Amino acid sequence: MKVDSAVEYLRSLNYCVNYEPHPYHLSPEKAISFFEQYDLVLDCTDHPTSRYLISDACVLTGKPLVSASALKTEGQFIVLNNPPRPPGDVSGGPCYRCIFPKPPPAETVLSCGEGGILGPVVGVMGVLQALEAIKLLTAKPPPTDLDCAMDLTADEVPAPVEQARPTMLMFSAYSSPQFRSVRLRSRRVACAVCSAQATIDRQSLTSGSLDYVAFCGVTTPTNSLKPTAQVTATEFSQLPTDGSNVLIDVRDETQYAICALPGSVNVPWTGNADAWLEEAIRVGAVAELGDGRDRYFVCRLGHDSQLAVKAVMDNVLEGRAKDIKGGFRAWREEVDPSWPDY
Amino acid sequence: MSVPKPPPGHFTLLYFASATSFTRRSHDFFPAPVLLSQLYNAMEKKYPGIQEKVLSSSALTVNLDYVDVEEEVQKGEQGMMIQAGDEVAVIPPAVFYTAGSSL
Repeated sequence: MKVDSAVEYLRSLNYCVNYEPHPYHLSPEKAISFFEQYDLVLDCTDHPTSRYLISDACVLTGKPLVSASALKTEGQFIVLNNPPRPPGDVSGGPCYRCIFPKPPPAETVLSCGEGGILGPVVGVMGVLQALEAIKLLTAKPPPTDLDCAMDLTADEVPAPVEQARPTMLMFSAYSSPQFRSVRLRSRRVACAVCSAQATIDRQSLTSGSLDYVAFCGVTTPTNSLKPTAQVTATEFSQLPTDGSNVLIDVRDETQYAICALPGSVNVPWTGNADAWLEEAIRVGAVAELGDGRDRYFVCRLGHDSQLAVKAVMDNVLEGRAKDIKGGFRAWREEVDPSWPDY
Repeated sequence: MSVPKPPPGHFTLLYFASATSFTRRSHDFFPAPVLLSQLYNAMEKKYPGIQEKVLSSSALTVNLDYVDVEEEVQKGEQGMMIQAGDEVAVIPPAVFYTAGSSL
């Protein structure tokens, strides 16, 4: 398990720290009791459902959240719920929902578009996260009313500590400048979890009544095609290579550059059927009125290729467009074990 | 990939993460001044489908300040104007779904 390797590695770096692995998925039911044991939470996950759950649980348990994420060559870094005031207290820091109230539609970000992450980008984000965690843990607690009341000799009211405005730090390896610091707003007036109008409370989590998977609209991998519109990787490998068919690879350019089948045409799926079809016709991958040749569609895992098949079936290539089931993962498993497993 | 200055009478629109994938560009120049609340319509015209697939879940900043687009839409004509030379950024959350993964 990842958590065990993490502990093992961290222990070899510093054995003086007490590491407690929690070797299971974080569920809404468990999140509150977990988080209550700690002073601070770092979100190192990459999935929308866990992002929302972790943020909600931090608000409800009053823990600051150091949140970092990386995707391809970009990263985002935010300290959330800091200071960790109770829901409804406008002086508390914004939470993840304040910044991203709506999750991205699942079908637009499912699997094939992930395109991996560049290691050093994750490193940059992780180091920033570690630094901020140390700063938060070692920060002097702000004076409480009780402290002032007990200090009877104090004749001046301490000046309120000016709170730094919350920011989101954006990192983009290929942009100039590489770092951009975005000034955030305070808590969203109608935030579902940290505002006075909150609808999510501890009970929503502990009872399991809040379904994060449904909230994020996560779907199982698409299976939207008739069986006749699909072939297996094995079947595809047995087709003649005499030009009677065309293989259209809908992965992005980066993945296509890693590995591609000879003779295939790359038309990256962008999420927009009309724009994609236009591009496919423009580059000659799909003939507008059909040219008698079968078109086979492939991607990494077999999701986007189905959407592409749908796009052409709905428009031009009735009956002559087929999806390679399971994409290149299936290709690797069934046909070519030397195919890169990226 | 340094972003050049916008031509006179335009502002810069920067794309990040899935906004880059959707538009296949790192930035665009749009004519200014324009009401911020009208920006999404202009983008939808140029990139059909972007509103639902990218913008609805993205953060938007104007000159590095987070802006609540819904709030601006409610303000109507009184809402924020984007001026020539401004830098507007579309910032989708840096997350992805993996096939079959769930909590």
